[in-house]
Amino acid sequence: VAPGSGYGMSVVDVVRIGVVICVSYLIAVYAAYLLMLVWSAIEKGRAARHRRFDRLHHVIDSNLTIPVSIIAPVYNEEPLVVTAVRSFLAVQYPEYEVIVVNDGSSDGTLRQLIETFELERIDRYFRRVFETAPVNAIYRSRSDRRLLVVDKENGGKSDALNCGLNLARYRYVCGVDGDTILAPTCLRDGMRLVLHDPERIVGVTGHIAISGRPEEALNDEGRACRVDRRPLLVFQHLDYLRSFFNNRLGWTRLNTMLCAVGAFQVWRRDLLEQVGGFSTDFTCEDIELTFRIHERMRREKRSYAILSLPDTVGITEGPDRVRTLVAQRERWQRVIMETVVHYRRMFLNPRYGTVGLVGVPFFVLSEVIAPAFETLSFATLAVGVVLRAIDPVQFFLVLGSITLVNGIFASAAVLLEDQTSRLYDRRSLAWLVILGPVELFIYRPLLFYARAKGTWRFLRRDRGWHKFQRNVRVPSET
Amino acid sequence: VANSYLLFLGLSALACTWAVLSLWVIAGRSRFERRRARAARPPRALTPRRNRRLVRRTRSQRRGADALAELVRGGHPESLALLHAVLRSGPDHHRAAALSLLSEIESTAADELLLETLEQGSYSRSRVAAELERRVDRVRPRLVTLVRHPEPVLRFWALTILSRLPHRDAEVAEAAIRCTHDPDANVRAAAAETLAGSSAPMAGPALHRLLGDDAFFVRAHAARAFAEHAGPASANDLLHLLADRDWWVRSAAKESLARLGTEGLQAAVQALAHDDPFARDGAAEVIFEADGIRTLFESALEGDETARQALDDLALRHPELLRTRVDDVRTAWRQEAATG
Repeated sequence: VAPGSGYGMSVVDVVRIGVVICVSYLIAVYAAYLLMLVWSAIEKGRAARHRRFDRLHHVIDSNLTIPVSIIAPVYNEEPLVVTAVRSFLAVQYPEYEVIVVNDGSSDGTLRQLIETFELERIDRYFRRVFETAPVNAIYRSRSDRRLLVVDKENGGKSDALNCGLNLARYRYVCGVDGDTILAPTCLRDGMRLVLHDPERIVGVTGHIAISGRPEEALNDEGRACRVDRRPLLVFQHLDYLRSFFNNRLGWTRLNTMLCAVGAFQVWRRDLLEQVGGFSTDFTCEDIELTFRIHERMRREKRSYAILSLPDTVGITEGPDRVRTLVAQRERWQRVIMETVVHYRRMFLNPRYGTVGLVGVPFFVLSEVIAPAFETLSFATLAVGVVLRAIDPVQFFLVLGSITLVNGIFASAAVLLEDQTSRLYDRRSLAWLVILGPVELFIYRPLLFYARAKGTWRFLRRDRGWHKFQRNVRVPSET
Repeated sequence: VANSYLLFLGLSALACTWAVLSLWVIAGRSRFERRRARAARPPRALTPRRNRRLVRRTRSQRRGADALAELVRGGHPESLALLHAVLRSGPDHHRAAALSLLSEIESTAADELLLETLEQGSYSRSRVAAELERRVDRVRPRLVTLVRHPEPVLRFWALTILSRLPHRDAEVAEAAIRCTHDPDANVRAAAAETLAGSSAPMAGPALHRLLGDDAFFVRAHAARAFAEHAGPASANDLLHLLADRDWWVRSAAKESLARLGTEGLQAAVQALAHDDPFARDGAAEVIFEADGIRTLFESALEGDETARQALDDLALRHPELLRTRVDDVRTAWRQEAATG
């Protein structure tokens, strides 16, 4: 702030206080991110050393491997559902079943599944551990007996997951999204950790890559290998990378994993039954369930761990339009607010160990109160510019610093990811690191808008899903 | 708020950090590709000096696992002693590496070390068991001894690994039969699995007894094992499990009956008239699951009154599903008629 800007002290003081608050917040957030990055790097190194010598093919060959039920709720996923289900059936794992729950889709999702996988209707009497919307029919594939498709009335994603849980036969369940294409090695990598300590490890999640057309971004092994070059998708890809490799690995290290993502979440079924399954009272199920499990386990002083794999376990469709991106992120912000407010008793509560003392405060700092500080930053900036109360040189230097800090976190995430998976070619990597600093000017304002909107809707108690429209695809000539 | 000069210095430092990290990403990838090419070459020969250096390095947190791997794969005479020391008291990732390296050694001493690790529980028992499973033939006598261990967890793992034996002889069957009386339910369940593939005459009665066990998962394991052991003869004994108080046991009974072929189908037809509604529903599921509609139709056409009655029952309770299956049967008949 220019001291001699000629305006009354009160205005300068107000702007100055605003700047101090915003810069302090920014420093606190970046310090928290840096700390988490250090933990993540340590965890990534440990996981890499651990995995380098593990005989993964022994895990696949072993009859002792714990069977898994993959549960995929689908709602109006016509463009991707067949590719996604094919990827579920191509997972390399000794024993698993795939339960696709069609949650009352109004498009051709069910028809596509029936035709492609030769589904036949069966009568299956299953445990109704969780109350769900009525089931219309159950189908089994003639071509692959591991595939079961449940057609039910629309009840939301949590309801569909609970319906899948009712039908699941195995001790571990893996919840996936209907628009996610799984890597063939995802269960092997995830369950390898469980096999090491089945009593303690109750949940596993992993990194999900982003693409506008996931079905086109796979290599011969069915793994993500190309980064979508469109900037909006690259920014989302970087966002996911930062979230997983800079934060979640650190959370794993501290045993404070706060969100096992809906696109790939492995859970021990008995624990899900104990905590009451996926909650339909929240906008989105994944963060809330993870919080609930932490809350229960810490309260009961049980030994447990929820881990994040340092591997890319699948690829999902990211919105390629601003409007749809805002709708998605607005929903995420809402669910974060709902969850953190609901579990506010854990905040800075030593009874909940690292979750209460590190995890929840980190979430509050970086996600919950962020929209308030972002709004304050923009307001301070606008007032400062209008009143010429901000020194332009210092402003640009601070802006440049923030840009570069964002770039550093993005490059660190790309580095950690590449050291683990070596999936993308050098050109894709270069594109990712170049766009890292740029996102502050294009992507962050969109996120700011989405978060502010989400916070506003949370305050208005809006619980709608507001599912984003699928990306437009050019129809195949064949 | 801040001095412009200091801000400029900070900005420069950040720019350098970003540039270094970004270059690291690209250069790191090139280095990885070179390393991968180098890794394809045969390993360096172990000289006494390198041996000593590597042995010292096994104590390093960061490079210990690599050193251990080089020593073991290079055939160092002290390999097993080193692995033993690491498995007993090494850091977690060293123990993971040691276990995998141990699995590469095909010798009795390596088998013994794996069994010792299982006994001591110094590393995840399920992971050790996955390695022992691959050499179950060789470690069979030791596992049979372990079945008498006072710790239930070891009895459980010994039986679980023994259940992977392709041929379970009388000695194994005897050990498993003894464990069907074990106070620990997990051990009884593992005993049931071991007895499933056994041809010992006493296995059948032991499994039959476990069908009435107090623990639900023992009954479920026993249902599958008894069906595998006794084959079609087990159908009538599995019938009452369709009305078990636990869902998992009913489910196991349904699966087992559906796999038993004609006898399973006959038992399911009988169960359509069961007092318990769960048993009736389960029986219908078995009939549909085992593609029994065609068999029932053919029997009914030949005048079998039980089959006719069963179809009537199914038509009453599952009309839509039966209609679909009848259509399938008709299509199959037409196709068979067309092909002569």
